[in-house]
Amino acid sequence: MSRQALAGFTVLDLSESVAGQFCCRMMADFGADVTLVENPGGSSIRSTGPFDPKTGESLLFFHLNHGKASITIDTGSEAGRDALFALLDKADAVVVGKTIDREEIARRNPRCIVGFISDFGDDGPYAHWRGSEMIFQALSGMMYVNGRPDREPLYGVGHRASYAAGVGAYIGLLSALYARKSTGRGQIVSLDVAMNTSSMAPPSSLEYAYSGIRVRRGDDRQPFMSLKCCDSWVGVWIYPHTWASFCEAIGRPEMASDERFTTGALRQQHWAEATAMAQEMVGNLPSDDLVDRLMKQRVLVAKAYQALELRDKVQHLIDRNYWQSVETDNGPRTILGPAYRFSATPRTVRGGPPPHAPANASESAPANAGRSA
Amino acid sequence: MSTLPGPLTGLRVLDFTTAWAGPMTGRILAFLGAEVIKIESSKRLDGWRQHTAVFNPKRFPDGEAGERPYNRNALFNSQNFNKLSLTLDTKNPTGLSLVHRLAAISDIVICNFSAGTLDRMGVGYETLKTLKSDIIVIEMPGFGNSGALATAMANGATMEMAAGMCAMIGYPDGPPTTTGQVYPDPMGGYNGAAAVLTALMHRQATGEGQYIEMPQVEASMQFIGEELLYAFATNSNPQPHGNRVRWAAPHDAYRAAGTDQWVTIAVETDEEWQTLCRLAGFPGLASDERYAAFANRWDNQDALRETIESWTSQHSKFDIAEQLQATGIRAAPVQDSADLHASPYLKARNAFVRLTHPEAGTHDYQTLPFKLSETPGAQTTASPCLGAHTRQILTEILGLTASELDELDRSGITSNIPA
Repeated sequence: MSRQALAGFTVLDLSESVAGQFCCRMMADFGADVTLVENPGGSSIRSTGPFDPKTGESLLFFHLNHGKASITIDTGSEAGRDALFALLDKADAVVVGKTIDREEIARRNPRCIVGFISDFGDDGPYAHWRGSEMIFQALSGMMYVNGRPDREPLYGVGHRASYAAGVGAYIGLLSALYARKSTGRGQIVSLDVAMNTSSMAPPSSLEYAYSGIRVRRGDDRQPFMSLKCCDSWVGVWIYPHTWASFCEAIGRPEMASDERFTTGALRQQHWAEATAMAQEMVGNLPSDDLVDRLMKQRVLVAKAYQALELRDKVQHLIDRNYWQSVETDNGPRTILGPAYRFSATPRTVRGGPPPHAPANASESAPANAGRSA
Repeated sequence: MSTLPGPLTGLRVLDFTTAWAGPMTGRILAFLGAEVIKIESSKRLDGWRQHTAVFNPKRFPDGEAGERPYNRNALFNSQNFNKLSLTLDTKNPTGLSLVHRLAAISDIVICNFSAGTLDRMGVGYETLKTLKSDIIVIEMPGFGNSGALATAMANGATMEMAAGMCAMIGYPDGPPTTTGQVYPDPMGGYNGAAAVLTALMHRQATGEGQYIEMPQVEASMQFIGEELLYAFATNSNPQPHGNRVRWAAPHDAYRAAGTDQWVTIAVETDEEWQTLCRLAGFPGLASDERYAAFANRWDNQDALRETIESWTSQHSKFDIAEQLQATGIRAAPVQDSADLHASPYLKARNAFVRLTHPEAGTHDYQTLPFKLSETPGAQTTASPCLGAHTRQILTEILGLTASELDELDRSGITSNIPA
């Protein structure tokens, strides 16, 4: 096994959230010993969809927890609390949500980095609010710009805000671990998913502060164009210097000198017409042909890939051996490739997610990891 | 030079980045206390200075470009806080040798140009590690350094398409939809910083630096991992379905009082549905069997829009959200950029810091959300004017003399005016 960037660090995941479990899974990806601490009923994410219709497994839990070990602790019992404190005393980092006393952990183990991840924090005007993906996106300023001006704004898909918050927490925790070498001390790293989401919102917030001008949904799509080919949609981003190449590539070179489109300002004004004219040219083309033609002309383009296409057909991902698999109790299952590729410390996934061991203080290793728990 | 009280204080970063993702990675490291030197050539500025773009008044203080619009652009100024700005023409051998001298006393180099650009510039990892054996170099190509699309260019919008996200987002039967204007860009900013920190931990433990390839599309795909795995498990592609989700119904954005004002409401349980019917005054609906049980309500949720909007459109989006959240139902106003600046929640989180920029004036800028109790980091300085720190860096860090600096200016290797 190659060396691992976070080798030797012991991490406990008591977060019970998508953000927290993703943060800890990244730590497991890069070599930390991560243990998911579950109550006797199991992590709530185990019962959160989507589920594999054949096995009933939560695919969300799978994706967030491969490579971790698990321990079941009934924190309601005295024995359980003792067991938890024994683990906490040895941990380099712990990720918790609102229900755990983070100050107490910090007092008991001053070298521990305590990550506190919650939707809105436990103070402030929204401390009592409940969050979810649409709620975070709505508050962040991002949702407002998604979709058509004459229709309801769209929130997106899945739990992307929580994943982003997981990466934000990972950044905070690792920087605190890095500082521990010189300070000799741990600290508490707090992150709200809601604030994290707004920190990633488009610069329209600053544009408003600068100019007082509000960007509206559907405005300003120029220079982006979505085109429907005979088999799929394609997205094109047309910089001023690639406008003529774009017109050439779609087989309508005269568009480049059409007086409606000769400058950026004019194209902005007539973008719907430009899009309609381009659409006429490409509607019967296979999307791969259009993408090839545009790439040859150095026009920025991408196909709106569908999930199955990403697994089975996208040659780029096949070339890069992107899809991998891990063993689970139900046999091998596909996992996504590494987010980051390190020359010296590549990702090593130790196994599938840990099975739930319901008895108090019982442990389980990553599924079929071939190591002792 | 920098004395920010952050966890990365004492580290030096060379920042060869453009637009959003790369600059945001440097911004995060600078927030955490690293000294980040942003290097631009006066012949090729960060694209978000938009030196050659069509003037758009929304991006400038008071809608005015000013004499040096490249110093006043909201895009650039939103992502380069705490950084020092150095201009160097790296195509000139003298300029390149100065970059090499800086790299020899730096810890990290970040770059989000297309794959292979650092090598072509003469500052690739293999070169730099001969100058500084434990250096960490990250490149952030859209698709990656290898594979069929290695040379393809990308930006946030096309990356969201290529990551499989857009095909899952849209109105029923509508086109795939991009989000957050270009959401994968800030995802890339975060992922770049996370990758650098991972390599820093390894360097701290072993003394070994390394090269990081951070393919932005692949890293973004993690954020929809369970949706991809579900498609594989069912052998079917997810279809766009507006704002629907599996676990709640109704779950949508509804018109509130005012023009283009919206409130989101997510009803998870049958009890929450009864509560909503009571608050909104829909007594008939509470007992309507099309909606009483979750499965029926989920199937029939689209028919609820008109009724729900008959209530929401009479009230402010903020009031409805407050009222529903007070009863335990998830709800939130759909906030625009003006709402963000007025948000009591963001105010309580100190999410904005007031900074003065020498050419853009004083404004409230959004800051970053990581809160460290002992080594907090901070966003203390507005984004730099082009070349603002060139002389300072070359004098204080590299020890150049005044006459050497003048010669660099005369020959155009350094310049705080775009070529």
